[in-house]
Amino acid sequence: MKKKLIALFSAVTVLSSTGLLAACGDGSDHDLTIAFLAGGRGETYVGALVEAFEQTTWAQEYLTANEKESLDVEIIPGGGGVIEDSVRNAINSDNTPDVLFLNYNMQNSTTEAFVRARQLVDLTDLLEENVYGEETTLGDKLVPGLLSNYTTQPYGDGHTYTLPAFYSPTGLWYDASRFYDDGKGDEYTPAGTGENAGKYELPKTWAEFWALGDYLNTQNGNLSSVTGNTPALFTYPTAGYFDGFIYSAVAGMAGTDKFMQMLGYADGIWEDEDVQDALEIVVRLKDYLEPNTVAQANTDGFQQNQQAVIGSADGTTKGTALFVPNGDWLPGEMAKSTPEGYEWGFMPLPSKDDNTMSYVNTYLENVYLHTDGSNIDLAKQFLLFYYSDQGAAIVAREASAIIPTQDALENAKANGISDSTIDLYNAYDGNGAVSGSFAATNTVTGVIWNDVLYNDLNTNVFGATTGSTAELLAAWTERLESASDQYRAQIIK
Amino acid sequence: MEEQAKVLDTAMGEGEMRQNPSGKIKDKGKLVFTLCTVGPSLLLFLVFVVVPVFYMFYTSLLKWDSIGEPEFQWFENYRVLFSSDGFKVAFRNTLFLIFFVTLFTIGFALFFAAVLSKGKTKGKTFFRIVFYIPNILSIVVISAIFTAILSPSYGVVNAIANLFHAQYTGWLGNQKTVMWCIVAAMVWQAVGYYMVMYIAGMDSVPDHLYEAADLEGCSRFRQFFVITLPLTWEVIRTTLTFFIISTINMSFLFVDAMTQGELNSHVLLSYMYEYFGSQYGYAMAIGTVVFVFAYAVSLIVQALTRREVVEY
Repeated sequence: MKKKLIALFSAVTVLSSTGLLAACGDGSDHDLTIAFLAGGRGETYVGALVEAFEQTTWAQEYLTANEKESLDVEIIPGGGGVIEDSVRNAINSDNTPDVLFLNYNMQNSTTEAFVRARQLVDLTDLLEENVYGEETTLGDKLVPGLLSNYTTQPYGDGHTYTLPAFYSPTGLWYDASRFYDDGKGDEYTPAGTGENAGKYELPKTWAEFWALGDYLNTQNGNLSSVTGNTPALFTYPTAGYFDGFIYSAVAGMAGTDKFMQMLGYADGIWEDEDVQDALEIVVRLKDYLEPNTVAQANTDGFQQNQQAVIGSADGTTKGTALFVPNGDWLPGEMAKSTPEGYEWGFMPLPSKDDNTMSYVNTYLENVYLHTDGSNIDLAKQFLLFYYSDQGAAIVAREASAIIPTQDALENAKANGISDSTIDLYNAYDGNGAVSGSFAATNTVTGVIWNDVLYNDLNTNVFGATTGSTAELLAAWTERLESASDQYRAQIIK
Repeated sequence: MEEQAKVLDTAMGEGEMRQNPSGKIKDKGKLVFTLCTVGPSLLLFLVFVVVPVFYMFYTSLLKWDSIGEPEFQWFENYRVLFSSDGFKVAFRNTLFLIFFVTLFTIGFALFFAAVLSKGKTKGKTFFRIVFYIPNILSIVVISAIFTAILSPSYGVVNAIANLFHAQYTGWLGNQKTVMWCIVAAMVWQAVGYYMVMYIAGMDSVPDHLYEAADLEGCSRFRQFFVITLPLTWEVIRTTLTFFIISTINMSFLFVDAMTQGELNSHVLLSYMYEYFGSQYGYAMAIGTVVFVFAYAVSLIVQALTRREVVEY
């Protein structure tokens, strides 16, 4: 009896363990699966879009054809650290998402991996189709100039594989109450006088920017006594935020042609004189950096660095840094520790000189379809709905974000987006726009391009214990050239 | 596994074994029984330990981002790995932690154990509990505590520095101090646990040895080295191996929670995790190196600390 019991027990153990393994391969029978990055854009907008999409005539036709009563849509949300794992898990369990709101340059380079594996649906033809309920094609509806780059056309062959889901300008944020704008033309004076006493003049060119930095450094004893009254010039949340900064700086100092060469890993581009000027700006910031920045430039401390521009949460002391590079989600992200009445200021990076434009880096978040999705036709219709005025209104309301369609700004205004957010888009007036994403490549073993370009700056430049500006710049250039050579060899053609 | 089977075997059928001096198992029932008992755990061991280890070796030879098609490339990952600066830094940091964390943890743990076991320290139980508490906290909590203490914006260290009008910009932001911060957090976390183990070992040393030593005029300090240490050596030795393996694993959690590898503070496993998503094959090559390294270190430590066991 005992033996039988033991045999039974072991049989059960074996069966259950093999059963566990077998249960992993569960196919999908959802009508649509949508994965999205639920970060600064909130968690509700996809749900709201799906709900509205279900009422469209397209969805109704689909339901009738398939004899269904309602759409079965699985939504996979997840923050920056989670969503990539969730997507991989979904793929491994045969439930590949049809629609993905994911970006390039994320921790695990999931989007880049899809590009490499050619698993993105070609959306070129979709651009010719009308968006839902309107007589405008998707191509015409989109803000011009956003489609011919490596982000949307990763293979550089004129075929569009990802679409810009949201767009927002990135640049430098500051405490508006600390600055006055003197307009252009006259001589730059870092500290204001008369009615502007106690304020700083907003720098328009890099020369003015450094003049302000030098002035502050004399006030704060070369950064040895940085306080709210004697702030430092600059801080950054984490080194990762230098992506847009570098794109803008290169476009501004070297022009858009060299900027495009840079994105294509052109040989010797980092040693180019003008590009060197742009890189030098980054390295030079080390001498003007809020002293706590380096220690806090990680996932635990980055909000402390952002707080350094705001000051104390109760508004009693001003911030210890004047500028921080960031995107339009910053005010929302810091809302809880921002004192009442605080006014954010935003400007593009300073320009090369009075006669040159600034370049605003446009942060593009992407949406694309996966070739293994179970229902690509319906997913395409969902995209056409997304870019309709109806979709844009939902996104403005639920995500406080702007879809890059022609009249999205007007649409957003009518749907509760604040004037200050709309004002950000004025940064494009009179300035150039760039948007960055490097050419699609196969992986280079042991090298992560984003680390070389910006993520490692915290360690290798700002946190470096030895080396002059020139030496740090030379070492960085060498790393960039070497990595760039390896990546160029791996470009997918 | 085999030992287990043998023990079961002898326990169940000693009588029959004597009748079959050749040692062959003739009783079919016994064979079935052995298979039934050993089988499931052997299977689980194979599926969840042996297979993954070999799978790791295999994937370390691939170029694979875990989404596209894997590409077999022999030892390319290892070639890149051994010439990579990032890997060297991570390896150096891991050795640094193994050495200093072990040194301080075992040193402090032995010291506190010696004071709290035989000594007549007042409030012994209280101190035992106090020292043990860090061990029941999760690593993330401990990291958060240390990050908060060390924060240049609101930390205790900053407040103390302000008192002396000194500028404190965060030890976690300085390449020269960042690893020491991780050492401090790891030692603080582990001391209590090892202290409790050593106390247990020391309590089993008979009192009369100490009494005799007292009569001979031997100081407490000397007693520790001639009596306590030799008689608890086996405990220390076992915990040492334990500890080195756990340092390799735990350092990942501390680095991930406190610095994310900023300022050259990566250790082997956090460096591996950097590549986990985008370069799976390369990450597995690092994993293989860690596996071999951990194995080698524990063998070396076992060999170096081998002494004759003192009987008493």
